[in-house]
Amino acid sequence: MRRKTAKALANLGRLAGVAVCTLAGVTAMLWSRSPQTVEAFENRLRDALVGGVRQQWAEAKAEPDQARQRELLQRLLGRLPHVQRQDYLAEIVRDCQLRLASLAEASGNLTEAVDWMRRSVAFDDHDLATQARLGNLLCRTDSTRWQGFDLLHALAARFPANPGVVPVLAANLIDAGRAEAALALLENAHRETQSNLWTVFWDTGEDFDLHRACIVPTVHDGMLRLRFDLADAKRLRRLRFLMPCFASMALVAPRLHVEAGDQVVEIDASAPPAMNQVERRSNRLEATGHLEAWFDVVLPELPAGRCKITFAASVSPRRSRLLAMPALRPGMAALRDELVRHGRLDALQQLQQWRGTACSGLPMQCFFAEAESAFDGSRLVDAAIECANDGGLEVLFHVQKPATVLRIDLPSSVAGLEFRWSTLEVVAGGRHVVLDPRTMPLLGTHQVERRNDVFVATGDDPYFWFKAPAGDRIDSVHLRGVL
Amino acid sequence: MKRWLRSAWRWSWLVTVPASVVFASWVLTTWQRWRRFSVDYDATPWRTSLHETGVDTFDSMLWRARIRLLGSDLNAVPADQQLRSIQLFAGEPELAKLDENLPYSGFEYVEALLMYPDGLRKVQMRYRGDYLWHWGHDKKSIRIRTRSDELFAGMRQFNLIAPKFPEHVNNVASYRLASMMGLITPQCELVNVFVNGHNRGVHEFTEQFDEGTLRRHGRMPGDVYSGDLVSRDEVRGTSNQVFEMPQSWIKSPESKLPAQDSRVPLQQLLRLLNSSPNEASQAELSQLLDMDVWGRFGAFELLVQTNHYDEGHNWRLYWDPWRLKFEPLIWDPIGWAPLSRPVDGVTIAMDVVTSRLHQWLLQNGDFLQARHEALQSFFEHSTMQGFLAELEVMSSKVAHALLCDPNRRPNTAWLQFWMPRFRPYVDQVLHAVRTAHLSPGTVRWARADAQTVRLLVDGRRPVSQVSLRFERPLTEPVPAVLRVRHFGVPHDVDLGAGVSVHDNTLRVPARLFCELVPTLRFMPCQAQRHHGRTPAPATWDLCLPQLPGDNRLLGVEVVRGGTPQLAEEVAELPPRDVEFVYRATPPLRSASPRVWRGDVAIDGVHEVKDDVTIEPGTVVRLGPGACILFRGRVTAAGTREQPIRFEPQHPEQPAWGTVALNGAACSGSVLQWCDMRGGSGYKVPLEEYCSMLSIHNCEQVSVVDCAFAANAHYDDMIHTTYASVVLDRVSLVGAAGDGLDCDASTVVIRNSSFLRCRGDAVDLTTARASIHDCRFEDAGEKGLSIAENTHLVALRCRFLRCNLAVEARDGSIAHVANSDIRRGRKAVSACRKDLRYDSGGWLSVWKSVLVDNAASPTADGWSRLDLIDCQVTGELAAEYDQPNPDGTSTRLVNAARLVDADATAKPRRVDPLPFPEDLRRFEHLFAETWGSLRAETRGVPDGH
Repeated sequence: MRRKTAKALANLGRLAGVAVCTLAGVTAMLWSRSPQTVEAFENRLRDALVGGVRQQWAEAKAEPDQARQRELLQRLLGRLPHVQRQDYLAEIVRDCQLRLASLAEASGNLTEAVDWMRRSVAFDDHDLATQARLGNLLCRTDSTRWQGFDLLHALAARFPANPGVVPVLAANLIDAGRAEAALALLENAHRETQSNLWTVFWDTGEDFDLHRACIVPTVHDGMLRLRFDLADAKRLRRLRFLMPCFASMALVAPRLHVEAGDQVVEIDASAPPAMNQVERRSNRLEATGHLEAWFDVVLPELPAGRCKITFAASVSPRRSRLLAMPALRPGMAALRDELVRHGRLDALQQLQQWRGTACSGLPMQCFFAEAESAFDGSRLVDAAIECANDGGLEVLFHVQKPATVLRIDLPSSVAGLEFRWSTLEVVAGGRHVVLDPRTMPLLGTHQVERRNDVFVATGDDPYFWFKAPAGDRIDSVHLRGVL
Repeated sequence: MKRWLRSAWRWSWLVTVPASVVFASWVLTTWQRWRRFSVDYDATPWRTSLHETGVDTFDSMLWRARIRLLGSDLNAVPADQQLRSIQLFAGEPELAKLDENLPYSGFEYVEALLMYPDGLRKVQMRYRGDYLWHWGHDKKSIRIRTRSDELFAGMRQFNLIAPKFPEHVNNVASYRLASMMGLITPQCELVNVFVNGHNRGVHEFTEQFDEGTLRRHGRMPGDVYSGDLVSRDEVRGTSNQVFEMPQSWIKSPESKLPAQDSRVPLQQLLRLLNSSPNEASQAELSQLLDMDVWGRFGAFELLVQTNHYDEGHNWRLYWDPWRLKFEPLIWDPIGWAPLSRPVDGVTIAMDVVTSRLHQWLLQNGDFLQARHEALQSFFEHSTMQGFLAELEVMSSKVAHALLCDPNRRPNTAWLQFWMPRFRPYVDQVLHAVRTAHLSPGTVRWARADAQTVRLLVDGRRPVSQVSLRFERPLTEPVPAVLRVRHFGVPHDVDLGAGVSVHDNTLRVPARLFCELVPTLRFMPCQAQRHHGRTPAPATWDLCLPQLPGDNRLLGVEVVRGGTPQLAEEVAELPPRDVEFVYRATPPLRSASPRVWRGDVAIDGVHEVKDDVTIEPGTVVRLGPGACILFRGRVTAAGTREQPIRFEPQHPEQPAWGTVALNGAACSGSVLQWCDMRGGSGYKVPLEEYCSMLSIHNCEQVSVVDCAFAANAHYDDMIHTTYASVVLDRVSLVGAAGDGLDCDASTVVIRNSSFLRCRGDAVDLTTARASIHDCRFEDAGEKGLSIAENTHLVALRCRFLRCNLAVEARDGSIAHVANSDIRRGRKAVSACRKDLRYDSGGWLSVWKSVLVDNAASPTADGWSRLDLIDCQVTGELAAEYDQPNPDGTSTRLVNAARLVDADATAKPRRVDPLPFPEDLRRFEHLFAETWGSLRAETRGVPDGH
């Protein structure tokens, strides 16, 4: 090598060394003086590393064509074989697998759907919904049904009242002709201990989600009380009550008593300004078995300092509607008839309670008009089915309008369900008229048949209409019966 | 200048090359760590940013460079300041396997070697822990599993945990404090860990809970439930709250109960915790939890300011099947952690409310009383001073070790910030807790009506007694009732049995508290501390219905924490509900015992809560499976002429169940001239009695002149657990299994006979026993079985035709003297069967006769068997076959020794024998018995 070349190379090396040191110096300066720049750099770096995967995921999710979507999802999964269940990208892997299973199921390829769900469970066995779904799919194929039941039974043994597991197993048991086992499973779930841990959030205008604490209530003589002090009511504007996980209960006439300084406030909490997975029915709030049921109570302006708060409501434990849903399946109707035949009244009552619970809260409508042809969306009242403790159902429509023809719309999406309405009481102009729905003359029906004293929904929009009893003004219509 | 620049340029590589290497190393390490734990692995909630990772890496590199340059070496640390060292050796492929895809790869065991005191042994190692700090840095938390027959310091599994916090001593000091407070804790100490000879830094050497931990704390094996539902254990689709998911607790396999029943205690506890607190449910909770221990646990939580026992994780509950109580095991308390310190630097938590169990406990009078007593004991005895002195030593040692710790964490700035603040914070906590909990508070009183004194109690210190001073002397105690209103409904507790009169003063054992009102307060970054409690005055009514109307009440005095305090009289106190205290005063037991006489027929399970006196001549006839569970003191004093009999209702019926004395209230019970036959035992998921007569959890029980025979089915004829019992002139004949089984008990057995027991005549486990002047004949297994850390002195006992007369094993120490052991299959043996024990049995036989026994005395290598100045026929075998559990046998060298022994009846020495040094700890128990040893005689002296 010529001396000149060697010198040039040496200088180049020196230059590189100085460059690296300069880079190190700049890096040190950035690290010590500008963490924001480092953070921005980090974000860009992260985007460069995994942004492409997330973009591909978004595209795959948005793809309308199923075949193409399937291809995109598979391609994406192909890029992520190294991902494991606690990695950031695990959510993408899980989602892809679930979507691919859904696509396969939609196309009738249960084997492939099962395969994807198996992969999903193998990838992450700490997700109940995934495992329950795999169990459900396995149960739908003769050759794998026993595996499905094994899986679902194991899950139900470990999570005996979980609404993500128990209804799936119950539904499959019913479909497999083991309705009585399903009933026993539901009863077992009902006997499990329900959580009692409430969480109170208090809103002071900042970090609402962080201002929270858990409270065990007292229940005395049917009255639930949550009693606590807030250390400072300054800027307090609302409270959020997160009910116990999977709670199933009715809170009748809930109210809040607040004492702050010399101010005492009573607040009716039965009409929350915001709520989640809680149903409002007249003067009560119903939780139906969800994981995160909550409702808010708005507070007036309170003086700063300690404030004493008591939330009280008459509490009625309920069967969980989420658990009860399989009770509406036709197999359970057959079980009901069998229990009636054998005079097994205890089991029958349990079954009817589950069926009633499943129906409870389903919306119905009463249309009112002066003539048959005049039913329209502007003349109707809504009401929800109420379930009594004995399993009986009732619906009360407050019409308060003149009408000569009434139309009762049964809940939608209950095709095949049999309603055994026993009385229909119309209060018109203060006069009570009790009709027998089984025999009273109907003016017409739509997607509902009346046979053997039973109204059977035959489609997704079932209703019947009849002539209103004499009277200018219909005050109310009250329908009673059982399923 | 130009020349200088040229020269600088020429030699710049001397600076730039090392700097570039350092920079490249920093970039590479930072990149790898950030990529792994911030981009790939979701380390929530302990994510680190690129900036933090870079700073951390740089700090770490700097620190290591400094150590190398300064040559910091553990050898330079003064000997009294050195931590113990643990030496591990693992191949590079094994270590690489653990590190190849963290954290997933780290949880599979790999082979390694561990330095034992006597050399290297094979072990298995893996990483452990849920969160980043366990495996995300150079210092890893490690779990070691030894071979089953090569325990390390008595442990099969232990952990070397990377300390989480800058102070490093948080866990070690917390465990030490818990241990000083009598809680069950794992062994824990700070150690230096070396891997392949390289210092990996300071770690917490922590025992993994197992049966050995329980035994070491004097507890019998039972279920240990672990409640952890965070991080890797979380299950999506559930609440992940441990107190509502009994099936999600992991149960250790020690349960003797059938699998389907084994979660019943936990299910019962969780069912209770998910109901509503009231007087009945709180009483049930007091039944289910050992409130004394839970009180200490509550005090411990306060003293170390831990929030680490919460709704989601870190619970270890021990269910004692013999005491039927839950106890907490202390695990990972991370006391005084920076995370739990108040941001304002002032607010110390006076009540820890991190789970629904805490909420229940803080409304339970038994817990509040026990917690107060634990705090008082801590502050008023020398515990606090002892602890602070130890803390000082620990901190000093760790400070030295950290100077040589190449992987110390967190970074230097954090260490420098937090370490000096640690001790002042501990002092601050202790001062604040002491002030809040041991300050007297106020008590006010007023007459609510002619028969009712109303008291208003403020301050956390409980009232334990109320004294009412009247104008004139009282002649006799008057009935007293404590009335408390919950939701407007009065609840009365009859205290009449405890009322006493001293001249003009009436003393009522009323336990009263202030209320602890749930108070929600936002604490930045400390969600666990949002729920606290604020003390508020509570109103209590003391009703004295038979108080003479003309005797004026002059004043009221209360006792709080053992100190009298005058209550302040006020004109009026309005009635008020007590909302947050239940079971303030537990119901007192009736002062007059129930009397049984004549024929008493018992069917089913009969629980007797009162004290009972059974008169002479009483015949208690029990139906098939019938049981009597006594919860109070039993005085069954029969006579020779009129014995008390416990027998089947019909001669041919199936066996009856058990007669059980269970609970502290049974202490002082006496069974005299009782004849018991035809019983068996009783087992249900929550209670277990494996014998015809069961004596559990009580002190000073005497069984005298009693006869026991013809039991069936269950393990033992008499079983004692956690009890102190004297058996005098008792005969046990024909036991179906063991005759007398004593677990974790102190027993004195004298002048008694154990004949034809199919199992062991007397089986002692973790017991202290003094046995003298007894006969053991035809025992199907052992005459005396001395196991698992039992200490025994036996004198003047005759063993005849026993399969094995005396066996000592597993950490037990036994001294047998002046005894005859004849015509058995084997006379004595010492061995180790349970590998959890470091040693086998230490058995010394003094001045005894061992003749006509078929097999020679034997001892294995872990044991000691000395036959001292005994008459022994036959030679000691040099080797023998030790039977194994699987039916095979192992040839062992016989370690038994003859000292001054021969085949003659005449002793070689006649000078008095000193008290055995290895029993010095129990001299108070054994001195009298040992003092009666006759040195001039071999065998049982004449006249005995």
